[in-house]
Amino acid sequence: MTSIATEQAGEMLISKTERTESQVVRDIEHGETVGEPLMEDAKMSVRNTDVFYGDKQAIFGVDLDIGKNQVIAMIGPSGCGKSTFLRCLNRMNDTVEGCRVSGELTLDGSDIYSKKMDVVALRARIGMVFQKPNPFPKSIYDNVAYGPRLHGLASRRGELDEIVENSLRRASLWDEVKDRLHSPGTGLSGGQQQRLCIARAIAVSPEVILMDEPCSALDPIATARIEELIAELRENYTIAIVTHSMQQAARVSQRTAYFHLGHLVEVNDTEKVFTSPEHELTEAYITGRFG
Amino acid sequence: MTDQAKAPVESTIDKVNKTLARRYRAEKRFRLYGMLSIGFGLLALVVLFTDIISKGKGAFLQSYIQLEVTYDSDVLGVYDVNDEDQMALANFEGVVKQALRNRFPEVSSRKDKKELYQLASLGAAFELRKQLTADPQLLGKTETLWLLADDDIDTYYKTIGGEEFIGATSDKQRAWTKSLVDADEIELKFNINFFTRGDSREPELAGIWGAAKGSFFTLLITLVLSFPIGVAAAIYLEEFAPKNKWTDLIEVNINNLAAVPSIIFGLLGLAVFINFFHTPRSTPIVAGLVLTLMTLPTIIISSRAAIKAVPPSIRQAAMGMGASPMQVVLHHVLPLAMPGMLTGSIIGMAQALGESAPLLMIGLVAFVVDVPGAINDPATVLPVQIYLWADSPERAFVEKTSAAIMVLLAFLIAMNTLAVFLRKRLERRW
Amino acid sequence: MQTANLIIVLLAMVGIAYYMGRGRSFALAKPLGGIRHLNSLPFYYGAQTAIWCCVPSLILLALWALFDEPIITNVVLSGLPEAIQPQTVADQNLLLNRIENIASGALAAGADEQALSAAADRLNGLRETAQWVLTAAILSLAVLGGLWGWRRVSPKLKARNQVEVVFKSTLLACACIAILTTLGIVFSVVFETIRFFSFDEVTITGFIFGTEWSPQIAIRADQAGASGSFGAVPLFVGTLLISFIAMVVAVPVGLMSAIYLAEYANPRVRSTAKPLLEILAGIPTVVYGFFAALTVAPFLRELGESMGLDVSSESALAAGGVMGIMIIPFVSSLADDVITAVPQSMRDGSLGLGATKSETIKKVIFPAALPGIVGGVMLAVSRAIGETMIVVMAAGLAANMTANPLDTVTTVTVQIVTLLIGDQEFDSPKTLAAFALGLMLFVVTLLLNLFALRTVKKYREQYD
Repeated sequence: MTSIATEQAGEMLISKTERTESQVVRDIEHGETVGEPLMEDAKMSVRNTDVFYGDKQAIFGVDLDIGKNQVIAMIGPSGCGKSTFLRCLNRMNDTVEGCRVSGELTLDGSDIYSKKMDVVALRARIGMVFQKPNPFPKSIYDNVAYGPRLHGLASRRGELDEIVENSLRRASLWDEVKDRLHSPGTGLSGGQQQRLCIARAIAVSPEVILMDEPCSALDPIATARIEELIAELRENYTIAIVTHSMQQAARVSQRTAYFHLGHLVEVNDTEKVFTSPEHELTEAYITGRFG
Repeated sequence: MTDQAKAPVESTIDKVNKTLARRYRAEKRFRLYGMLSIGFGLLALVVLFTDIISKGKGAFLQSYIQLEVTYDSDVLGVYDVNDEDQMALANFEGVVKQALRNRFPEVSSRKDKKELYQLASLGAAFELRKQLTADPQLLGKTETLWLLADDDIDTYYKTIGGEEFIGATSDKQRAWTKSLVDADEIELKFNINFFTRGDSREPELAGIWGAAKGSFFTLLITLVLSFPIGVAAAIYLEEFAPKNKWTDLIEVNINNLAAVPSIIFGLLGLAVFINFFHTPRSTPIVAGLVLTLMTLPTIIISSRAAIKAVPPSIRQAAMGMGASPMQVVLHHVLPLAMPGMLTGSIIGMAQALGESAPLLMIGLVAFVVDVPGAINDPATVLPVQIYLWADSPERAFVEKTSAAIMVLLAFLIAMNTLAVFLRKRLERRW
Repeated sequence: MQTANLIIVLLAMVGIAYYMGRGRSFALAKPLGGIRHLNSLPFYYGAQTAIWCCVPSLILLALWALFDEPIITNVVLSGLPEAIQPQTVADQNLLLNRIENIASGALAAGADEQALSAAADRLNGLRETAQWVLTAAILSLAVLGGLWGWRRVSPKLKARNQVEVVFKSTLLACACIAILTTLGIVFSVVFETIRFFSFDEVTITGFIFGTEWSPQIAIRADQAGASGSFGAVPLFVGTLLISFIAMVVAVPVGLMSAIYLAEYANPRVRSTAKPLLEILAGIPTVVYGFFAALTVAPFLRELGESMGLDVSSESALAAGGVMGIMIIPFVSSLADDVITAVPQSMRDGSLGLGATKSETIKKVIFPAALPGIVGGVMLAVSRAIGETMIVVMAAGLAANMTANPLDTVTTVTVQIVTLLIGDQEFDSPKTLAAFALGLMLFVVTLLLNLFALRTVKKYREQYD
C-alpha cells in the first residue's frame, strides 16, 4: 500500500509544474496519502475515518498511525481539519452538537468509538492541552489535583501532594510556583498557564497527550519553554500536536502529517517532509506559497 | 525511564475503572435532579392553571329561576309608569316575593317566607324594573320570566351531583331548589352580568367591566407617559450621555429602581402624589402615575438594549453624510430600534397590568360599583378587584375571583404573544 | 375652559406655529435662491417657532397647577369669620373638606353654617375665575411666544442648533426622572419616618430591637398608656422565615433547571421548557396569593392533619412555598445567563481530563459561575423580601416570633399594607409606622440590589 502511494506521488511529481491548484485539489479527493502514514507497533491507529458536522464533511478517509513515544505534528492551512482530527482521537467531538465520526480508530488495538469504550476512561488515557490556556478558576494546586481527584488516583493526601509536585516538575513549572501553590491559577502568565494545563494533563498519567496549537497564544520565550517541555515529555508519552508553525513542527516532532481541506495529504519523517516533500501541495505549503 | 513510566500507567487505568460505576451513578443522579427540577416547575404551572380554571369555569354561567311574575299595580305601588316618582319608589322586590310565594304556596310561616325570598337575587327586581320601563304595557300583566337566582342557590345548584357543597343555605332552601330542579325551573345561562357590570356586594351581580375599564384607563396613562419618557431617557443614555459620574449615577439608579419592591412605589405615590400634589385618590390617574414610575426602568432598560443592537456602522454612515446627532437618532437609530422598544414596552405594560401591591395604598381598594367613564373617576383595576373578591367571605366569590383571574391571564397572554410576534416579525438581526 | 380642552387648543396652536415658522423660512429663502441659502432646514425653523409657542405656556401651566389650589384655599380660609377659624392642621383639613363638599353640592350646609356656605360660594367663584385667568394667560403667552419665535426666523438664525439643544435637554430631563423617583422615594419615606420617631411612644431602638408589635391599639390614643407598641423584630423574623422558605424552594429548583437546560437539554426541549417556565414569572402576584390562600394553604392544613401536625391555615409554609414557585424562573434565568457565560474552554479542559458532565458542572462550571449565581440569588432574596401580594393574602397578621414554618407569621410588607389600607391618619404613629417599615424595606433591598448588581457586573466583565 505504501509503495503504491509512493508510485502515484512519483507520477504526480512529473507533471507538477503544469497543473493548476484546483486540479491538484481534485486529485487529492481521490488520491491516497503519500509518504508513510502507517507503521508497526503503533500506539494509536486511524483507518478510513470521516468526520461530519451535520451535512458538511470535515475529514475525508484518513489513514494514520501514531507511534509510541513519538511526537507527531499535524500541519496545514487553517480550516484544513487538523484540529477536528485531533479532537476525534479522544472523542472531544462528542461534545459538539451534530458531529459524527465514522471509521476505525484504535488505542492499543481497542476501538475508541466502540460502545464498550468508556469515554471517561479513554480521556483519562488520552489527555489534551488546548489552544488557549484554560486553567480553572481555582488554585494552582487544585488545578493539577483536579484529574487525580476525579479519577481517585490518590488515596492519601501525601500521595496527591506527590502527584501534584511531580506533574509540576515534569511541566517544569514547580520552581516558579512552589511557593504559591494555593494562589489562583488564572493569576499566572500565559506561558505559565499553558504549562499548568500541561501539568494538569500529565497529572492523570495519560498514555497519549493531544496538543491543539498549544503555543498559538504565547510569546516566543514561553513557546520555547513549551517546546523544550514537549521534547522531555516524549520520553514517557505519545504526543500528537497540531501547530500552524512549520518551524515548531520541525523542532519538536519526529513525524509530520500534512492536512489539506480535510484530506491527509502526506505523512513522513519530519526531516523528510521539510527537506524533500513528496506531494506538491506539501511543498507549496512548506515553501510558503499558501497557508 | 520507559519502564518506570509504564508501571503507573497501568495502575492509572485500573484505578479509573474502579471509580467508573460510582461516577456514572452520580452522573445519572445529577441529571435526574435537573429533570425533576424542570418537572417541578412545569407541574406547578399545570396545577396552578388547572386549579384556577376548575375553580373559575362555573362563573361564566349563572343560575336563573323560572317564575310567573305579575306586574301588580297594588304590589308595585305604580299606577302610571310615566310617573317618575312612582317608579322610583316602586316595590319590584314585592313582585318577586309574590311570585315566589305563588310558586311555593305551601310556605306559610314568617321565618320560612323570609328564607324563601332569599332564593331570588336583588338583581331580579332590577331586571323587572328594566322590563317595565321598556314596555309600560306590561303593568298588570303576568309573564313567565327567568330571574336571577341568589348566589348561594347558584353555588348549591352547581354542586348538585358534584363535589360537596359548602355554603349558607338552609335545608328548606335546598329542598325548594331541588323541587325547582325537578320541575326544570332552574337553569344555567351565560353570565352576562359578569362582563357588563361593576363590583357588587352580591356575587351574582358582581362583574369585571368596571375593573377592566379601570385597568384600561390606568394602562393608557401609564403607556402615554412611560413610553415617550422611557425612550427619551434610553436615547439620552445610549447616544448622548457623556461618560461621567452623573451618567453612572443615573445608570445605577435605573438598574436599582428596576429591583425596588413595588410596594415602595405605593408609599411614594401616597406621600408625593396624594398627600403633596393632591391628586384625586382611587382614580386611574394616580394609579397610572405610580405605575409609570414603576415601569419606566423596565422600558428604559429594554429600549437601551434595542438601541445598542443597532450597529455603529449605520450611525457612522449617517454621520459621514453630515447628519447631526439628532438627525442620526431620529432618522436612523430610532426607526431601527423601534420594534425592540415596542416589545419591551408591551412587556412593561403587561407587568403594570398585573401589578396590585402599590395600588392598594393609593385607594384603588375602594368599593366602586359604578363603571368609570373617565381617568379621574373612582375606579379599581383587575388585579385589585381579584384581591378584593378573594378577600370576600361569600363562597360564590371564589369562582368569580378565579374567573377574573382567567380574564386577567388571558389579557397578559395576549400581550406577551403580541410582544413575541412583534419581536419575530419586526426585529432585525445584524 | 377645562384644562384638558386648554391643552388641546394649545396643541393646535403649536401645530399652527410650526407651519408658520416653516412657511416664513420658505418665504425668506425664495429671494435668496432656495432653501440651501438658509442656515438650517425649514423643519428646524418650524420646530423653533413651535418650541417658543409651547414651552413658556407649558411652564406656566405646570406652575399654576402646583400653586393655584393652596392659594385659593388660603384665600377662602382667611375669609372665614374669626369664630370658626381652625386652630390645628387637622381641624383645617376637616373644615376644608366640609366646604369642599358643600361647594360641590354633595352636602347641604346646615342652617347655622351661613359662613360655610358663603365660603363654599367663594371657593366656587374663585375657582371659576382662576380657570378663566389661566386660559387667558396660557393662550396669550402661547400667541406671544409663537410670534416671537416667528419673528426670529431669518436665514442666519442657527435654528437647528437651538432645536437640538432643546431636544437634548428634554432627553436629559427624561433620564433624570429616574433620579427624581429615587429622591422622591427617599424623601417621602424618610420624612414620614422622622415624624414617626418624633412621637413619644416610639424610639428608634425600640423599633429596631423591640419584640412586640401591636400597632392597632394606638388608634385609641386618648386612653392612658394604651399606645401601641412598635417593636418590629417579629416582622423581621416573619419576613426572613418566609423568604427563607421561598429560597429553599426557588434556589435548588431554579438552579438545577438552569443547569439542565443549559448543559443537558437538547435544543428542542430547551426551546419549549424555557418559555413555559418563564410563564411562571409573568403570572401576577395576586394570582399566586389567591392560589396560596385558597388552594395550597388548605391542602397543607389537611396534609398536616392527616399526619397529626397542627398546621395553621395561614402558615408561613404556604406563603413561602408559593413565593418560591414564583421566584423559580427568576433564579433560573439569571443562573442560565451566568452559566452560559462560562467559556466553553473551561468545559473542554475538564472533559478533556476525563471528567463526566456532572463533575465538570459541579467542580468547574459551578465554582466559576458562583459569583454570578450569588448575585442572582441576592436579587431573588431582595424580591422575596419585598414581595407583597402573596403574603398579604396568604400570610397572617399575627406578629409571632417563631421559626416554625407551620405557624402563622406576618411580614414587613403585610404590615405596611394593613396599616395603610383604609383610614390613613398622618398624625398617628399607626399610619406613620408603615413609612418607617417602608424605609427599612427600601434600605435593605437597596443594599442587596446594589451588592448583587455589582457582583453580577463584575462577573460579566471577567468573561467579556
